[in-house]
Amino acid sequence: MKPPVFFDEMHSGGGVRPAYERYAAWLHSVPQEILQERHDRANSLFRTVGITFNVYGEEGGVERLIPFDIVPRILSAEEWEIVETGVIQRVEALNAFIADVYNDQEILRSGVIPPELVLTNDAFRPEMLGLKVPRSVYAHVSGVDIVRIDAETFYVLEDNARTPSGVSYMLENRQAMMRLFPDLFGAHSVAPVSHYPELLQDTLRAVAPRGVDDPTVVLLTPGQFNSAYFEHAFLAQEMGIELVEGQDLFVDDGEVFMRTTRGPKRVHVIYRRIDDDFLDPLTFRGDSTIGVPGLMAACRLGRVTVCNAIGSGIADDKAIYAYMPEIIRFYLGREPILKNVPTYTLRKPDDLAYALAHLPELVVKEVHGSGGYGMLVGPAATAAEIEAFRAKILAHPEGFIAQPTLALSTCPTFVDQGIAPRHVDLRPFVLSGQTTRVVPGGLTRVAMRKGSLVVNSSQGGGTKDTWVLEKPNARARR
Amino acid sequence: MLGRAADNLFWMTRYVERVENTVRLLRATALTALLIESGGNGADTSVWARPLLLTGRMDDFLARYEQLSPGRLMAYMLLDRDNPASVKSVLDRARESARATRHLLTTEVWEGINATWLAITDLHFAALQQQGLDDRLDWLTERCFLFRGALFGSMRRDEGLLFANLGLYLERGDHTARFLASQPERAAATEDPAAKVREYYEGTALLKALGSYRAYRETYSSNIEFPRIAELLILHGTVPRSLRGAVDEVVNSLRALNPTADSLKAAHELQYRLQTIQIGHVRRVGLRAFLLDFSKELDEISGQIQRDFMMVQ
Amino acid sequence: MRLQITHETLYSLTHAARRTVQYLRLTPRADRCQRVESWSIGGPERLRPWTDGYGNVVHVATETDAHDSIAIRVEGVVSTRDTAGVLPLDDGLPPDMFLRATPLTLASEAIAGFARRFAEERARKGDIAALHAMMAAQADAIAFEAGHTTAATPAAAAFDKGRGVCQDHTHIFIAACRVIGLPCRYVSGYLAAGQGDVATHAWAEAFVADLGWVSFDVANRQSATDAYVRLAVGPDYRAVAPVIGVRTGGGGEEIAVTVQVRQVQ
Repeated sequence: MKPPVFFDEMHSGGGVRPAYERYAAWLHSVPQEILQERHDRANSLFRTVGITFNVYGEEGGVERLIPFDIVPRILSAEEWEIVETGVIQRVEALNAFIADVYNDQEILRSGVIPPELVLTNDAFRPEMLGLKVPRSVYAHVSGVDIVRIDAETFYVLEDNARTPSGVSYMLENRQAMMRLFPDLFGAHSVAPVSHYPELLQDTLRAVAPRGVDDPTVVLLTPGQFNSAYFEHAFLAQEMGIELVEGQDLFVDDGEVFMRTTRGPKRVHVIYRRIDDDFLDPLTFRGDSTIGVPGLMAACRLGRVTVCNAIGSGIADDKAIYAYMPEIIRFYLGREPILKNVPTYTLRKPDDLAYALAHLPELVVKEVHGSGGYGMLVGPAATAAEIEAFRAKILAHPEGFIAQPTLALSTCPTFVDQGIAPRHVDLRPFVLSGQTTRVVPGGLTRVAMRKGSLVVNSSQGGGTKDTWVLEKPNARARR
Repeated sequence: MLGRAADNLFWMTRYVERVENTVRLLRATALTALLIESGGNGADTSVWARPLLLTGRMDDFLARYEQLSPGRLMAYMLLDRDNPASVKSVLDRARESARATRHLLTTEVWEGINATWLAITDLHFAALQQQGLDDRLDWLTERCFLFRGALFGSMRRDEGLLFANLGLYLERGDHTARFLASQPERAAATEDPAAKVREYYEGTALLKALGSYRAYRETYSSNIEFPRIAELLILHGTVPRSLRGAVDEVVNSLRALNPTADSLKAAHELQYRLQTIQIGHVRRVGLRAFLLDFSKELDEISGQIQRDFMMVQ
Repeated sequence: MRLQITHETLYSLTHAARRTVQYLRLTPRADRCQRVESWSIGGPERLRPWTDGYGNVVHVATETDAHDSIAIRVEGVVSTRDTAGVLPLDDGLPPDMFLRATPLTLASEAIAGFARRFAEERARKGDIAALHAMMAAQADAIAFEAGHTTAATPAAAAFDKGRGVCQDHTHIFIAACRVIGLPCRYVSGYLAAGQGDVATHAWAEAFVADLGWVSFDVANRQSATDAYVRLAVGPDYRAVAPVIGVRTGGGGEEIAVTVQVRQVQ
């Protein structure tokens, strides 16, 4: 069998691709030792800054660094335009969809989506039925995972409409790159990303309860042992807002307050990084100690805005994913800009039969899984792994979807042997408030192991800085 | 600001101060041991027991290390995570508190404390000895100074800094009081030359342990004498590690936070007592009783601060 | 029927609590079968009404000072109408969403086995007949007996014990309905007479296509009449509990409940 040919971000199409021209020239002229030295400096930089994530299932909250790669992933202005318009379109459709399923449910009545797919879905929260949220926005912060297979074709691998994380890496990676390679930034017009926290704050303030001119916004974290705590602290600091835990908040007479050194202070917008299940022990899991009893009441009374809204997870459910092109057409009346990966929904007998017959070629995911856990990558799995997974699927087919294995593009990456191609994806962060916006770039995740297609940090993936090159005269306009 | 955040800032500085105090205590212990030895009195192992007595860790130490030796004491008090009073344990907690308020700290403060923690967290005693024990202890003291420098040099002058200041000085006052109280009862000055020599050496070590040797020299023209050391470290507000100095800082910070707080009233009373008392009175009621009572008062003020500001449930 | 209702709940603590937050689902719904003539709710320091996703009126009650008791008193008059146990589908709640299992209504193998017997009956004689047969069989199988289950007992556990109260009957019935593919939900409310929980009552409503929500009070082997007053609907007891709360501090809780439902002219 011929080894598959992958599209390479720097080299495909005979020679260096235009966006990489200057960078490639530099890269080929720079001695290996310099790269090694910058690589080591990057590591010590991240360690001092304390950018770590906590590893689940390891004793005593072990803190790890996510591997950072010093070779940037570069997109031309034209390429970025496709991604940008594509993700904005997608997120606008997602928000319209969530608003619809919690209110009029037109999409269900029209038969575009089988009603039971939504109504019997665990991610659907009847607790939100009939609630009007400010500006009809539910997913205020979304992360859209994109992969590329050739020069023109971008696929959306999945949507993240609950509490997507990783944006702090986008920002810190840029900081680190600017410290490590100031000259390269002189030679390239890289679109800035550092204003993301400001846009986020704008977004959160824009969805404050009606009549509140100067809202108090807080970031609700599960606490410092959460894997993304660093990011929570980072964003709170960048926005200059309080980083609160459930115990810092309380509900009194249908309003939310935080305990401050000067007594209770009213809170209007909660950027929560806690799952729905743990938000209000009087409504969801009764054993949650990290939530706020009474929050659902305050939310439904319109006294506080929870971002992302409770129940927005219905939009990133993997079973709903298959219908995204239809959803975009239904609400926006336009063709999707970004492609959807063909998806076999294993609750359907035909799809199940097909998937079972083609497991070695497919990627199979749990409908409610995330972070690369509970996933089968057929081409990379052993026969025994495939058989074990087959049993899991047969026991519970409605819990899985299957997709063809995509030929993810590669990007040159600094590894032990020098520079070598590794597979990458891209997660731009989309903000929805008064308008829907995205900062140019995102988080490029890279599978550090040779040949691996799994980029999740929990599975040994690393990250890269993502450069979006500006059009020649863009800088003058700003 | 958030009550819990204030609490964390308060404890962050308290713990860093505790790290410095512990390091100073260990250095002074080593110095005293050395001085006494060269002072012609021969080896005196009871000196090495003092850090354990002061921190209340004697029983635990003996249970796990059996015999007291300088090396074991250092290993236990510096790097033993099972000893909650060790530098490593206290630094863990300092860093935890800093991490919980990471978003309120400047880069200088956070990176400073994180770098100190990184250098210590995986350190073993053998490696420490290899690096040079004295050098590492000096380094740790410097890191604590650096921390305070970053804190007061880069943080905004607002509530957060006031709570940090409260933690610093409550810990400092408490340490000075308990350290003085832990000293063996000294007989009144005698004319015995050997006793004089001993007083000199031990007094010097004591002053150095509290960073107040220079202050003593500048304040008194006399020889090193225990009663004057007590006077200096209790009543002289200009000495940064004195009880009076600590209480003055506590009062000032609380006044800036809330002039009507109950904790301020309590701190005021303590300040008034230090303003009006004379060292002779203290000696008559018993120095140790006075110091332990002072330490208890600080503890109560600390508790009242929690109730006044942290919205503790 | 005009029903006068008085319902008091007294929580006493041996150690005072510092804070309590409660949701009270103690206001009759505005439904086809009942009209609220007067209603009052009182007791907790602060009460704020809101409406949950199922259309139930909920009060969020907060006590922010130290307290060693909370007394909740509701009273009022409701006039009811006999709808032959059927309510039309006009409450905006899509029936299919009640096909989701909750921890309290998860069907065990035993419940599934019990319910499957009626799947065939459903195919042969229709939904209504099958549901009535299932209600009768369940009432025979599960003895109405207090003291063996609690508010947290799941359907599966109550089914295995073979006894329980109206709440357990309702959970089991909901689980069984799901097995044969019928959406079913939990109703909490009051009952003017007959066998029931000493405090409040609970029954089930199954969705029958072209007809609407049909009520099944397994404990009393009947559908709801004008002796029933509906307080709240939801997927299970937890979602409709008359009082659910979280308190900070305190201990040694005891609860005393008195309910009076009287027919008046």
